[in-house]
Amino acid sequence: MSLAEIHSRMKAAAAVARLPLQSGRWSGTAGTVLGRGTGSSIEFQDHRHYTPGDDPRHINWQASARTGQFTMKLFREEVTPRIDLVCDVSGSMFLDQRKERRVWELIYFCLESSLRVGGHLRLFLLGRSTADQPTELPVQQAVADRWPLDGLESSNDATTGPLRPAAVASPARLADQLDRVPFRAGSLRVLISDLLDESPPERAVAALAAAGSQGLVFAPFARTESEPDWSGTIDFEDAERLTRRRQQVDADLLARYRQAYQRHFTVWREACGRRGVVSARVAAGGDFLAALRAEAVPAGAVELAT
Amino acid sequence: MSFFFANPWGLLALSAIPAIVVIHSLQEPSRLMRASTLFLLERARPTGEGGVRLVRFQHSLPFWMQILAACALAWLLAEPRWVRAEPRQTVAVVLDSSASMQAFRQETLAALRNRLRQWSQAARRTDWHLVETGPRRPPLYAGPSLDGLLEAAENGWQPVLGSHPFTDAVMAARVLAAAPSGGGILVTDRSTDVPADVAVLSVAEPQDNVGFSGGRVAITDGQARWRALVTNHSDTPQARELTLRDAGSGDLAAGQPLAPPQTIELAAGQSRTFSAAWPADATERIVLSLTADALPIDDTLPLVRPAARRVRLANRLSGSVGDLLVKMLTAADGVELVIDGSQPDLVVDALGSEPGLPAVLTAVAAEAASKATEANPPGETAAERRTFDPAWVAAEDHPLVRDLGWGSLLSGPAGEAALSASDTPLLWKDGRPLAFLRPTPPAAARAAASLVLNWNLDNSTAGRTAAVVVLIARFVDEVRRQIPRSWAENFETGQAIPLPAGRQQRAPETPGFFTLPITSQNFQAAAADVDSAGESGPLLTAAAQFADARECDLGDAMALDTLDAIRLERVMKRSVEDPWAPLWIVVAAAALLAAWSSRRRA
Repeated sequence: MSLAEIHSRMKAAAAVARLPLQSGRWSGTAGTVLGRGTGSSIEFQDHRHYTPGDDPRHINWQASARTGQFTMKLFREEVTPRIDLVCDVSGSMFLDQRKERRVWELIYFCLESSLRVGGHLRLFLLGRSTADQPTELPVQQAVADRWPLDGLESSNDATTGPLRPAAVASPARLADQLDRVPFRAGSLRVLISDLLDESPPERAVAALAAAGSQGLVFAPFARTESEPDWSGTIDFEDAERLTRRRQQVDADLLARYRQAYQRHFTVWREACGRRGVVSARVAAGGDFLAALRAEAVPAGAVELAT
Repeated sequence: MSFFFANPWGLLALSAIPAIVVIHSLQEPSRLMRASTLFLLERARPTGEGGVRLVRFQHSLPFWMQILAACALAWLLAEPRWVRAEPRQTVAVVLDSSASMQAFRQETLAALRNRLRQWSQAARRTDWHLVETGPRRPPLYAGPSLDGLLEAAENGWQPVLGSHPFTDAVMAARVLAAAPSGGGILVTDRSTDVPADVAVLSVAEPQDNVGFSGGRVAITDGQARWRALVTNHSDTPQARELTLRDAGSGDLAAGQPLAPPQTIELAAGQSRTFSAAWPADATERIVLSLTADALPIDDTLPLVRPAARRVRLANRLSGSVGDLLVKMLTAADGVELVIDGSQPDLVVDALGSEPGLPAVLTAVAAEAASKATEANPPGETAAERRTFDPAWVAAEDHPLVRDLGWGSLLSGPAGEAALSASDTPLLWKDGRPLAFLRPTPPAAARAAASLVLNWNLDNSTAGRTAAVVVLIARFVDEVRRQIPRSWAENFETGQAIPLPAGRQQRAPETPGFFTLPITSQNFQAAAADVDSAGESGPLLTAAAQFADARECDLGDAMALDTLDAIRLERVMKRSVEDPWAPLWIVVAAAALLAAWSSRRRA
């Protein structure tokens, strides 16, 4: 399935599900999404006493008659939300064909969902090496399915198999890359990453939740990572460095690995919870909306259209 | 109920277990997999490292399934059989009485002690029988004690006999220890054919041996001369010292050497004869001895100076017939013609005189023969006058005429003498007895018979017929055996010695000198006869020598031990196959299938 096809299908999925922009309180220029301040929408917000300078059109005369004081009726403002979409394009994101497809589906879903609500979207691709800087990709280029995936051996045609990123001697840390992203204050910071990073998650989560922003993490994962069937002697090829190491895997080692895997994401989930960042793991393979319903919808990372 | 493995080699299948362990300790061919979580794998503290051929032993389902399959297959291949407990068994041990067993006696007893203890463990109680192969040997032991059997073998087993068949003893052992709870064991020193259910135990090995193969003393013109045959039974040249001793009145080891020991050399398998005149300064008994070796029984050769019993012959028959018979009788060894009345042992007489002694009787009277001579026409000799009956001479199966040819005996018709009920016919001609034995009257001192020649000897070729001469010589020997006078002779060990009054004694089974006293219970009649003759002292002075070369040849000795095979065969007969064998087959197949399936899934 090509990227265009994935894009087309995600455009349709965005009509069914969307990013949780309706439940937040956003700031920005006038738009169609309720903001955190008072405005001229029809969404009632509060009553307060009249102060000089207030727009007399919003005086609630009925309330003023009852109380003998001028009472103002306040409405919420409608803004255009700022959305910073950050994509992790490290080698592990393209571990196999299913995971790669699920990554593209998440990217296109977030892209289309942001555009659908008229958000002010900025798109960043994280660097793969420690020396790399995050790259901002024009939204129009992403909409045109033209992704500058330098260092990836495959073309954008995902039907030929998973992408084979070039070897990286020193893979970038996720927290370092997030620190370098020029996030906007009060934005919805959406991170699409498998979170398979050795560094502690606190810095990365803090970057997502800083400056009054709302953090949102989509973590795609493959079954070969969560429930591997390793047994015997295996030559492991590191997805980032492309180095190989031989490992004898028995049942004990496999059990310990699964515990470490579970512990890793438990730490991430707890870190996100402490910062109010919504995180959701999205399994690779199967129907996209079904994968979202498994965890993303219950966690509030995705809202289903009524 | 116990069990054993009918095919212990099947347990070699257990060697697959270390092979399986080694295989499972080897690293398998690796698979290439991309991984994004190697840092998590590191946190899991891996135990194996790449690059080495052997890794720590890995437990796995295939491993234990393969081990189970190997054990099940080993159990099946070993063919386990369950044995019913045997409450009681009977074992008959047959000891070879052959003299060659002397060379391996101690080794055999030691092996017997060891092997029989193993055999006794097959049942809670064992009844033992110990017999020898030698004929006329009494059983050595019968009872429940193995120690008693071993003690009886130690003390009572005397392997001194020559070569003899084992058949009777083995059959007796099979009867004593009948199947299925019985077992026979033949203890010998060489390969022999035995029934399939009889075990053979031998610890013998081929050995060199030099020994006497026989000896005799001949008297020629009154001069005695001994002659001994020495044989080297080995495959290599051998040297021995030959010693001649005067035994005097002692035994084999007594006496003084009559000459310095002489070194003799024999090539491989060579037999040499040594001979010398009887030492002038020796008594009547000498001993030849060789340097001792593994088999002592043939290293000594006792000899006595022989003294024959002479047969006293009296002739009561006048004429040419009597002369002819005396001539033929005196041609035999040890016959002297005495005048009648001086207590002859044998007389020549006409039929009808019925002497009380053994006699050669002629049925055709001497007078008739003389008359026939007188009736000859002038100028015609008796030979020219002879007319022979062309009828064939037929012989009975009797020791006196056995293996003799009578075709050259030409004679007239048989005489008129008729057989009585007590007579024993020897020769027949035209349906009439030509020669027969007639017993002496019951009142005679000696139980003997007369030889009746029932034809006209003058009108025959008897004087030139060898069969007639041999017949008379054999009859003289029969007469001699009944003469109760002292004599000296050399015998082989165990040889039968015919004695007067129809009695018989055997020489001792071990080499040595011996005498048969006249007062022996076996010789009451003979003693009375000798006493009447005024003689006293021993009846027989003799030496017994071992001269069975077959037993002296130890080159055929070989070690054999079929006890385990026979015991296994017996156990097999009362054992049953493992009833769970089909289950083990299913277990092995299921285990292999499970291992294969597990590997396939992995």
